[in-house]
Amino acid sequence: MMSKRCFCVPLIVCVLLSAGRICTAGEAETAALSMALKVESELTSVIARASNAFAFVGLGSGVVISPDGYILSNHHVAGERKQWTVRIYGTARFFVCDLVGTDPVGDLCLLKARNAENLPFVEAGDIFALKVGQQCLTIGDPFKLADPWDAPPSVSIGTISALHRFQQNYCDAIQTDAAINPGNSGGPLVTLDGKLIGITGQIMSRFLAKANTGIGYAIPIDQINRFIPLLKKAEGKFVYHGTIPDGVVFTQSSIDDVQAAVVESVEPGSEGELLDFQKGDKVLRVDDRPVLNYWRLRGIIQSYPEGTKVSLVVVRRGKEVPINFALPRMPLPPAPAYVEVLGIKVVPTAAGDGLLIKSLVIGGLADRSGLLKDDVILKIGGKQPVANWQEALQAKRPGDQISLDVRRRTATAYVVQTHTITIPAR
Amino acid sequence: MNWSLMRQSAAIILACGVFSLAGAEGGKLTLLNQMQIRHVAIHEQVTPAVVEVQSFGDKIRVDRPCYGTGVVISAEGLVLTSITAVPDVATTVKVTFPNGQIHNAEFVAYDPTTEVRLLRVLKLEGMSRKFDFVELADSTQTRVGELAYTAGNPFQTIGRDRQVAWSIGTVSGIYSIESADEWAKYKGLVFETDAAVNPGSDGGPLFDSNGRLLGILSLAYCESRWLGSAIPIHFVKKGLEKQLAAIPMIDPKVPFKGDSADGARAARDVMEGLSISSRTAQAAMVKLIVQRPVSSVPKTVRAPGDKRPLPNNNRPNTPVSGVLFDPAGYILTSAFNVENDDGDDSDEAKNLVKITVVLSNGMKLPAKQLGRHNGQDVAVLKIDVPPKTTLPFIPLARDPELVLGRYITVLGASEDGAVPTRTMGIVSAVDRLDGGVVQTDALINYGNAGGAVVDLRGRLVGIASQLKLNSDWSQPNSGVGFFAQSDKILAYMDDLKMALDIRKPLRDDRGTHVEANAYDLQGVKVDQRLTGSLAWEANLIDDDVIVAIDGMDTPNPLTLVQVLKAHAPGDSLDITFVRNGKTRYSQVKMPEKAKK
Repeated sequence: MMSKRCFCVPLIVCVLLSAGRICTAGEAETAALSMALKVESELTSVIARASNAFAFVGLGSGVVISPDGYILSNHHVAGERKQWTVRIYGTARFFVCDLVGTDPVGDLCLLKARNAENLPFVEAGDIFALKVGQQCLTIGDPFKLADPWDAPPSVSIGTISALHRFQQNYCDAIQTDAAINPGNSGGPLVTLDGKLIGITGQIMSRFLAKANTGIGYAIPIDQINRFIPLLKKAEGKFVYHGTIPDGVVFTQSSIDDVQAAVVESVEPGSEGELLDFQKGDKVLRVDDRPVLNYWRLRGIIQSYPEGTKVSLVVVRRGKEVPINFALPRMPLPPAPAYVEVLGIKVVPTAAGDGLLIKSLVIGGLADRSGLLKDDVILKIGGKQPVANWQEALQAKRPGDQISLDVRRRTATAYVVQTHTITIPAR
Repeated sequence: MNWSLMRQSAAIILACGVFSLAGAEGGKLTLLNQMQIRHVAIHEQVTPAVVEVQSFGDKIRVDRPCYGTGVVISAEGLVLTSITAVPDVATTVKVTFPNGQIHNAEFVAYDPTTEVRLLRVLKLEGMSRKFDFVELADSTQTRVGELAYTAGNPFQTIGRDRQVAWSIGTVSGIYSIESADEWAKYKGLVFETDAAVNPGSDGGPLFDSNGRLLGILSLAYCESRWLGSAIPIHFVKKGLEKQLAAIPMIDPKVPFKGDSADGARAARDVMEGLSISSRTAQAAMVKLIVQRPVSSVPKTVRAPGDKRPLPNNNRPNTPVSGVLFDPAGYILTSAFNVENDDGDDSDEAKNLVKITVVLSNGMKLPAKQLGRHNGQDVAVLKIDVPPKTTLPFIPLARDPELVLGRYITVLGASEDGAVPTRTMGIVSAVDRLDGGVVQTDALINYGNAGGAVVDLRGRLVGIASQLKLNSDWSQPNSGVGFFAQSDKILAYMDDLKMALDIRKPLRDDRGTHVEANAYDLQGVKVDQRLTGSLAWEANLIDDDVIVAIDGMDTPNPLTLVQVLKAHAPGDSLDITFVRNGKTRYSQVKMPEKAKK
């Protein structure tokens, strides 16, 4: 009796468990393969159309955004020349393009192809419908692998990893794990239905790799849309971004659990004081965009052109107070300087604490002394570089010594070393 | 289950709102849309439980934040993270949720076998509701090739920007590791992933396709693959047995509640399809143990006073991949895997390299090198098939049909694991590098170079190749990887089997990006000089303008390339260039062998 009952129970359990499975293992596999092939078929037809508006621009990429030939790219790709010869993939031709306007802070650049009509172009996507987890395509020319005369660009598929990222000078960036590498800069980030949602231009990597490790950044289409009208009118010159009014200092630490940007101090007599910012104010919103912390406030403001009228809402002594003003201009970053005696090109670091080496002459004095690209010179001769440090260096003679305190980023830490360089006899 | 039905429904409704984004044409929901809706739904379900973990202490500098990722695994606030996110010197820990709330956390336990820390987040005053948390998966059932997500705080995505960084990939390998990273000391089995893992991701979650926790991401990586890895959750549960006893591991067959059948299948089945279609190739994969004579590694000598760092000429000292494509005992691999590093490819040099082949059944056999195609970076080896043995093999596809956007998977010989590693991606471009080489965004590294590339139809469509040491354009795992195409390999296979080598034509302009587009410039401007290129040899830097070369004034990019091509190895070329307004001269010798 006992054994019979025991026998029945497992059988019932087996039946119940298998009731949810309506196919055998072999059928399940066929179904999986069939589904995979269907997904693949949709993807290949999306990708076949995606590259027609792609433009090969200089050392990077670009994309055509209107049939009469406006082309977007990054400032660091195309912003420093007045004229470019651009191959637009879908036309199999080269076009001479003029620089219409450029944006060094936002890293955008607008070109216009001459004598262009009916060009293939991408439509702008809807940034507000974009969700993390969605997939996207990057189209570009990584490592300039495409033969310049007729080869296609490279396509990679990935995910929207995050939105509203503030990394270096990209203040409201879309983050993606689709492959972005040197050469992709200026190229389009598109949704799977082929709409433009960003221009790719930066990566941050693991192992100090100069290649992608899963994190790339794109300038979002809403920021781009705000600047296109200004770029069109710029007559080849710069456009400018908005910034936080002078004299207002915000708390940067994220230790305090306050979901707003907190005003730490307001300098008396400054523009910020005139606009009625007060110490202790908590900025909750800019227009209808929530401000969760200082970085988000800076990111939102920096994504607008100078002069844009914004409405901030701050909480002051429990009440919401509006502060409305036109955004002041953010100054441009400085251009690199060439230091002949050392054979290096430097630019002040973003943090203002030294000089970043952008490139070295191979075999030059700095190179032979062991300095590398991306090293930061913190001190020259024991002192921080002052206004005329270049002339002081140029005045050195053979036999003189230069002492440089140099900070280098290793895989895990920053290391500061002093290099003593002797100028050789000519 | 453990989530309230309301929350799950909300997640699906939110996800369906995504309907409008991907342009559902005429209301028809394509498979791509359904797939994305599914990914978005999983993201929205689990990321409220993914947090930034930030450590403080006397020995931790305030200006250099010590942060990582953590994941909440119980309603009472238990959080898993790793020792690299919360080191021994930490005395205080704060946890930031993606909604911006910052909580204190207390130390509960530490498991040295997995380097995993268990914390408990403390509630804020007046907080009554429980914490969002994620379920644990039964990671003993995890297989190579299944869909996986990483989520976390790389470069402070959560701490600074209140966003949980989200990446989709696969469990690309399951093997034992002895970490090459100086911070992570983990020794044991890991789940490798080709989803993004970056500084700050450590301590965070690796999720399965249902959004359940497969493992905790660590900084451990192995020298041949350089990919992110996670400590399997079943080890974590064992190591923290007492504290995690009440938390179950859920069978992967239990679906995500509220699943839309098509969406879930579309999301998973591409990975599943590649797993099924690559089975034959898996059995045909071989591991190659390559021993080179010490003399074949070139030594760079620097003049006294020259303090430039020495280039890294060293390959990882690990086995590499090959594929048995012919049952008579012929194996394909990449030439890079078996070549001498000093560039000597004479027969004598080849014979000095000792190659042992390890078959998928464990058999070890010596192999002889036959021919190489240097341009395609392909080499053929031969083993003697033991009598009465049939070797598993996969033939090269005669018609690989490489269409842009098709899915492929790249197999790699696992150094210390039962199953080959597999990364996946799409065909990114065809006919690269002077023809016959296909570009893919599937990740290729020293572990899988030379491995089989397989499509959804189960065909061997190529051999992963073109990986180099010290090259700017061919770096491991960059998302720009290459494979030699199967039908092209078949075209020259007879030569390779007869031990004939095929040289690649010199293309010495590669590696110097010149501005092909400047109209108002007299000459050719160097825009980006890559290491090892001709411009590098000539001591040119970025922005130099070449105004004459080999007696020809004001070249343009096309004529410059023509001059380079017209010269033989060993020829000297005079270059006149302008730097910062001053005219200078340089001389460069055309290299003997093709430089990359």
